[in-house]
This record gives sequence, C-alpha cells and structure tokens, in this order.
Amino acid sequence: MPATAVKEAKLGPASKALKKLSDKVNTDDSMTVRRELEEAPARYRKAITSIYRDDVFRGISPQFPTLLQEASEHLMGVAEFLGELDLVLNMGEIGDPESNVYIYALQVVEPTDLKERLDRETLEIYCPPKSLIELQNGYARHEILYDMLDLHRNILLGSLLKHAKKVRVWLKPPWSSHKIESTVVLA
Amino acid sequence: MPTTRQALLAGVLRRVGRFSINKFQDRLRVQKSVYLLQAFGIYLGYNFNWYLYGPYSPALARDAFEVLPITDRFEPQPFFEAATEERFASFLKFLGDRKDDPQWMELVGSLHMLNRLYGEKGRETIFKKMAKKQPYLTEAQRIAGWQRLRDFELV
Repeated sequence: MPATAVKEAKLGPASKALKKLSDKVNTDDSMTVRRELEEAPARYRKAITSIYRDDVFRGISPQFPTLLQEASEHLMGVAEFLGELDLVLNMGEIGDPESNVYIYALQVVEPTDLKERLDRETLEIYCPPKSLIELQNGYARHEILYDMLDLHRNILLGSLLKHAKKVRVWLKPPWSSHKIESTVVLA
Repeated sequence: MPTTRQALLAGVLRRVGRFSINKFQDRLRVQKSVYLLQAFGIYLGYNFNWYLYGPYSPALARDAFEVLPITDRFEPQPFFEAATEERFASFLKFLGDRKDDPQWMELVGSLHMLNRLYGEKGRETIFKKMAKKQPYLTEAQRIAGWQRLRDFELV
C-alpha cells in the first residue's frame, strides 16, 4: 500500500477526539469507538489519535482459507470446501465497497451428468424458483450465495456439492482487485 | 446462533489462551491477537483500520461481544492444511510469553500496520509517527518490537 494512497483523518489528542466523535451520528460502531475512548487508561489521553479507513489487509495473500490462496487450483474435501464457502460468504457482501472478499459465482463442471444425480425435492423446497434451472445445471450465483438465509443456502450448496468432483469458482480474493477464476478439485 | 466466522474466531482463540471482553485491556488483546493472526496469513476476513490508538476492526468487536462470553462452548479449532498449522505455530511462537501482554501486542501490531501504510518511507518515519500516536511506548520498546517483527519476516 503506497503512502501516497493513505487517507488519514487526524482527530488530535484523545480528549478532543472524544468530543468530535460525540458530535457524530450514533451508529453502533461510533458508540463502540467512543466507549473505547472513555474507558482507555489515563496514559492514552496524550495520544494523538487518527483514523485510516482503508483496510490494511487489502492486498495480502493469505495461507488460510485455502480458497483465498494465490493459486489457480485447490484440492480439498467436500466438508472443508463447504466450510470455507460459508466462511468466505460471511466475510463480505458483493454490494459493499468496503468488502475485501466476495464470491461472484460457482459452477460444478464435473460430473457432467450432475442434473440426474441431484435431489430434486431439496432443490424445489429451498431454491428460489428463478434460480432453479441454473442450480440444476450446477450453477450458483448471487441469489443463492448472498440473498438467502445462511441455513437454506448451506443446505442447497451441500446438496449440490456432495455430487461434485470439480467446481469452478469466481471470486475476489484480498490479493486482487479483480475477479479471479479458480478450480476446486474435490477429494 | 453463531456464524461460521464467529465459531472459527472462538475456536482459534481457544488455542491461544483465555480471552475476555470486560475491560479495555481485554478488548485490546482480542483486537491485536486477531490482527497479528491475520498478519501471519490466517485470514478471518476482518477489515482492520487504524482507529484512534492502533489497528481496530469494528466487525471483530461485534463478533467478540457475541461469542467470547460463551467461548467454552466451542472446541479448539485445528486447520485442515499442514502449512496453515505451521503458520499458526509460528504465530504462537511470535507471541511467546507476551501473549497475555496487551501493550506489547499493541506495540507490534501498530508497528506492523504503520509499516504496511508507510513502509516505503522507512523505519524512522514509522517510529516518529508512533511516538506521536502512542507516547506511552518508549523508543526502546519500538526498537525491540521492530526487531521481533523482523525476526519473523513481518516487516
């Protein structure tokens, strides 16, 4: 992250910062920060406070989760993959500009006869009607990944992926500002 | 019901030690532990900004309030990949006997973050910024903290 891109909002000594923050809207986050200011030990009062809003982890190449590693292919078990999907889907939201990570879509590419293997009843109960045909063809995108209750989404993804051998995933990892395609080979 | 990320947070922190959110220093320790964990490449997806005194994640603060009071309900969380376990072991080694020392964690977390932000300007610039932002830390502490980060290739 180059220093020229750093946007620092200087709030001055902690005592002044408290007053400045008191004038702001009472969001949950600003109240949490105010509480930290109020409860900080006395030695913190002389600290020159400031705020940088950019996420410092934008641009990192993590070791965990596997799905976010800088590689074009990942090998993992179905349970691990489902767990990582749930975790990564919890990390951000595609419509939130502050999100560092999100998943655009995934598609089962093997086996090719997936449609015949799927449990139609589960799909019909939980899948929104407009996404049913796509899901039967092994494709899940925003409506499935982000717009459903987590529990229902996980039931659908579990039903889809228990038959999968190879899955293509399109996501935005922290190490890139672009959409990346990777393949997950399921053991 | 906790989310997968909240459960992971509780499970991972159980492997580090006992955590609380009751006092300022307890919450500081939670924030800096997770910041440093992510600096070691074990990414729980928490965005960290510089908030007043150092690295801080509002989303982590919310999740910590949800799960840390009930952390005993979660099993310690292992990682599937051996390479991730190695990173975690390295993180624990980095903390060493300072894992319960929130001020030391604040020191190394802040140095790491300022290096990410201003690294190209050099160590002296970072130390000067630190001296203003955290006057309660000494130059000797900054030098020792920087050396610790260098030993683990974090700066």
